[in-house]
Amino acid sequence: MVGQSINGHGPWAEYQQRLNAGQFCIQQGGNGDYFFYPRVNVPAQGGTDWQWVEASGRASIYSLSRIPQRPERGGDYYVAIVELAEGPRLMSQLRLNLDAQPQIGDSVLAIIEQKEDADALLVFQHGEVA
Amino acid sequence: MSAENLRGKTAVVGVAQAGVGNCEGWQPLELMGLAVQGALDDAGIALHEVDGLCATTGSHYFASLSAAEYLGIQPSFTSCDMNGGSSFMSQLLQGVMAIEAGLCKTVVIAYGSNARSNGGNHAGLIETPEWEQLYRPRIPVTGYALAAARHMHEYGTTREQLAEVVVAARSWGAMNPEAFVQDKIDLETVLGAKIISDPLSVMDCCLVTDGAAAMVLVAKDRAKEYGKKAAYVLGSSSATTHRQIDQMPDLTTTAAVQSGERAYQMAGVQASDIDAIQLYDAFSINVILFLEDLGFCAKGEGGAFVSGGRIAPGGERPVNTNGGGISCVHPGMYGLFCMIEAIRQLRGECGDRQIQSAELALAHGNGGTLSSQATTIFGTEACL
Repeated sequence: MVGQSINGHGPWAEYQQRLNAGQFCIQQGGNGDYFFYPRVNVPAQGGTDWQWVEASGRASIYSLSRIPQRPERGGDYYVAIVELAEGPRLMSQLRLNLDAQPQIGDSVLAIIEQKEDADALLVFQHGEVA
Repeated sequence: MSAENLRGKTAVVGVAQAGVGNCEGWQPLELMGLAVQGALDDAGIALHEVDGLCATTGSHYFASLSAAEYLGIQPSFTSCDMNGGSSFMSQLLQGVMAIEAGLCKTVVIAYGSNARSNGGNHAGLIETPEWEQLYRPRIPVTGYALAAARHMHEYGTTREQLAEVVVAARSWGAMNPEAFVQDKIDLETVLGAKIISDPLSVMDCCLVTDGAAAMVLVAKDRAKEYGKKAAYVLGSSSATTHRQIDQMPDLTTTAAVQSGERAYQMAGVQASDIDAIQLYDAFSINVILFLEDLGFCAKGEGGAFVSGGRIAPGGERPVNTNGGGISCVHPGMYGLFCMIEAIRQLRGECGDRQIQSAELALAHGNGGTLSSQATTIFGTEACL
């Protein structure tokens, strides 16, 4: 059976494949604007005229929340919305230096955590940004 | 044609709530059935007259089909519009349009949930968007915590001001015999509560109760035949800006700006005209955001607005007189209960918590993670 099947894979899988290969890519629409998360359609503009570009990885904390968790389960962690230097915002987790107190507005840098048996995860390092 | 043509064309003539509390052994459709019968009795309308149905639970994808079968009716108009907790405001507007278009004559909007007694199992309501779930936010609290943190950063809003919202809700709840929590609380206790997702504590979060609600909507020309006192639908509008919180254009400004503007325009009123304000308080920050976005105060001034007991009993601007989702009822979705309190204020049925001479009431719904905003304005016959 063939029908109207589409070969290859969608933007989400493409994003993840690139991340698994160590590259954090976002999409840039024909109008020059960047967008994230991965989509078929250029948001608000419409159309499917876009390309993958490697993100700079530079970002700042737009908002954040510390989530308490027992030490034996890994301790507290920070969920943040970060704003990429290219413009789009996304939710992520922060990785901290010891005793760091992240604040809204602080600079962070994208890091890709590779996993043995799972997809790579995009997180952001706080406190080591030039 | 414009939206203003729908102003005052329909009225809610019957309302009821059932099982606001812990109803172990009861299913969502059973609780809904009690509320539907209560609303029909309140209006004096027989079940067989119901030809429009908008039903919602936390556990039925085809809720209007399930509810129609359960009630044994075959409505000519159904809607299962799902925007989260604001769905009921959206459904009300659809009911208004359906009646005005001649698709049906009597619309019942109904909700039933056993979110509490079922062990908090209302999985559909806490569907986590694919991207966000990778980062283990506490859904839905963390989304609201991120909005609160940003509001505090931009406008200097404090945890004390968030706590004022909670203290006010609990004080109203203490005056409502139907409220699930009827104990007052003080600021210090709220501020000392356990943090769930900073800056929000467990006390900043709404209840998880069981509960059902229903209302009956008919055309204006039939409104006087039924019910004790009709609440006319003067204005209604919905708006959406995002689904996942990281896609919200501005974490401190919600789509209530748009839904409110359109609802006010349709009703021909403004914020200062509203007598009774009912806002969807899934979390304390919601009340501050919606007071700002609906024009009761300027952006950034919501924290000051709620301070000093101004929205509490005896304050200048009563808000959420039933105790809201924080103190009265929140069975997964609160929108229908929010509208019912607005209508009860217009009917003068609120006892100790009654706002004197209430003629105009606003009920504002929220769905998703500040994603859907829906504003409805009701008025008495004097407002037509």
